[in-house]
Amino acid sequence: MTSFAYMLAALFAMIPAPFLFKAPMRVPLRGAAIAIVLLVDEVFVWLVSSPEYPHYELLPFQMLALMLCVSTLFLGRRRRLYASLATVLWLWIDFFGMLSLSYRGVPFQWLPFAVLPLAFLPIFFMHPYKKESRFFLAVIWAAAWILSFVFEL
Amino acid sequence: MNRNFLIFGLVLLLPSLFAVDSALSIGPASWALSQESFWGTPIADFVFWIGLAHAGTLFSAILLVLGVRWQHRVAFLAELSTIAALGVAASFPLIHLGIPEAFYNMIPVGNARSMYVNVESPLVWDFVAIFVYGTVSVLYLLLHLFSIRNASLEKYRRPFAWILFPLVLWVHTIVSLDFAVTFVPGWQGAYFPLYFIFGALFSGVALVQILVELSHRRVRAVEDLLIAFSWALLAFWMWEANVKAVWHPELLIFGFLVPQLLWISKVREISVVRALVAISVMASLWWERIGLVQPENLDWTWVDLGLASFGIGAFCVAFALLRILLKKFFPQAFDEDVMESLRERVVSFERKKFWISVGVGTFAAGAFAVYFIWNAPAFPGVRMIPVLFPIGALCAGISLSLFAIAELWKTRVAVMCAVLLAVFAVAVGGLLYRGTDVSYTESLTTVESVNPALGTSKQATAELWNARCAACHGKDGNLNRKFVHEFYPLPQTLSLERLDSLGLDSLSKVVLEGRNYMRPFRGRVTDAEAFALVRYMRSLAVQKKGGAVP
Repeated sequence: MTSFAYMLAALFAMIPAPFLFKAPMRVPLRGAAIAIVLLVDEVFVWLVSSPEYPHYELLPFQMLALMLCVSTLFLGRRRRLYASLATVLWLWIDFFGMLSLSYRGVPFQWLPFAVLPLAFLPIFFMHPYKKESRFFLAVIWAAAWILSFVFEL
Repeated sequence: MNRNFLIFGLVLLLPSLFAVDSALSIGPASWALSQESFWGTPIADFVFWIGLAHAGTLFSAILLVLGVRWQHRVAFLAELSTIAALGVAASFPLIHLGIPEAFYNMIPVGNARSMYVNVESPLVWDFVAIFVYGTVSVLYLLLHLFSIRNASLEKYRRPFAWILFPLVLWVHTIVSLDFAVTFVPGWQGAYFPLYFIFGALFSGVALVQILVELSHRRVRAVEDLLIAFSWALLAFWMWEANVKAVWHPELLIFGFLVPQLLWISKVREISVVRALVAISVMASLWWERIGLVQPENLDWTWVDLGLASFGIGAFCVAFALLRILLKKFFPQAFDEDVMESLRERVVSFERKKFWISVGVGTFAAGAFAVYFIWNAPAFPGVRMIPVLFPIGALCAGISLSLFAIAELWKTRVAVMCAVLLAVFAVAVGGLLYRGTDVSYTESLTTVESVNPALGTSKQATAELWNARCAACHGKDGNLNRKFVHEFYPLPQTLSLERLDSLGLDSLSKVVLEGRNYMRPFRGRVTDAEAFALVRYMRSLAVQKKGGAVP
């Protein structure tokens, strides 16, 4: 997978983030909306990547996690809690995914784990509802995404 | 409900006990088994029932943490189903083991019993996760029950829920790793952890939907969750079709399309339809597990069907008995008005005690890691992490329970409980350390060769190799990678050069005395047989290299 496609994946993942939790929506509708976003991510990964890329299996779910992280910036309440949960989900996907891959001979990458918690910490020190904080956090998450690709190389 | 549940359960359970007896006495040969994977219906049933056991935690802990207010309406029902389903789930790995009396060998005590328990093995992760999840779920249920009587305990429920929330996800992640880290290509999925978690929650929601219908109630939010999860599973099934070319149209029909009926409000109003949709979801998810464990069509035996019946029967009986028992001691828990009034309680969050308990758990997990690394320094630490969190969660849960006991009764009662628990833990630890006496039928010093031709005839030596060594080293001298991988770190390849450098005498000694992870075989093979086996191993290495067999 090329670095350009990887960056494109981040952008693509972030597109639905502002809209997903904006309007009140019934649970089944919201569940279906998130699943459709995941399905679209899967199609995107299928188009731009190849199964030879070691993290191919994980990529749509990492995109989903990034999307959920960014979408928490648009929540009206409990932004800190949901941002933390979304980041933990991202860590979860990465850690257990890489652990599974390590049994297949793919080297376990520790550095993305150092980067992700660092990207997640600022939310505890910054005002969660200020526009500047939201922009800063989105940039940090995007940077964590790109760095995780750099560390995989 | 209880009586009907009990009768239905007994009707399924009693005949199925013959299947369980057959499975325990004959072992894996009694059920349909793939020669590729060596796993059969007990594992599929295990994955299915452990998934159902997630319902209680989802409704009671996760939704409580997320501040969902309707969770009070189904929390108690779901918690009971968790305990019953967990008990059923735990019985299947024991059946799968073939030697359930030796289950304690899965407890990660390092080299303490001079037998290496491999913390890299998902079997060990499973044991730790199920044990911890079971214990913490029981403590949480008790806290819930006592908090109905004593409102001051309510403030411990949310801190406890924060411990259970990640634990339940961790448990099913570990179940997924049972598959994801093996050498069977169809099972290798780096996305399995999330896939399994969603599958488990989906089946758990379906189970609660059935239980809600059986108790003649209606919770619309559970129906909504059923639709939402069906979409999530659709996304996973599509990805599986892409990555592994695995395609099950029947799953799409029963697991995805049927739940969509609930979008139609007229259909949704019919109680039988709601129950049938939930049954359809559960059946499809059970079939999904069967298809995952046994990808090729196998000839099922009556034991396979009996084990499925055992699962349903045992769950119904356990669930009904739990309800009967708790109704006697905690009748308020079955009063809907009382349970409804609980949500009106405004309670504080015991932050200090929560963080102290988290500290206790972190210390315990850290101490375990240090102990294990001390005993087995060559061990790759990252693969120990799956057992560290459950150990920490167990200690944190116990610590929080002791705080609750001190609140309910007196501090000295809590201290006494802690002391008793410590004495119990030390006693069990001592028993585990000692292990059980293993007695072989052969005498350790005067073992006689079973076959006099052994050591002289190559055919006889090959038979002995197949009986004693092939399980790990493979019939052809190449490792049985799947088996070895599940239990031990992979050893070095025994190439011809390596065998010659070690020498035949030295290797015979290894066979007899053991070395590293190789168990000693003195008492099970004679000196001559050990030497013959080493020579046979060398001949296999020569064959592998393409040379003539000497």
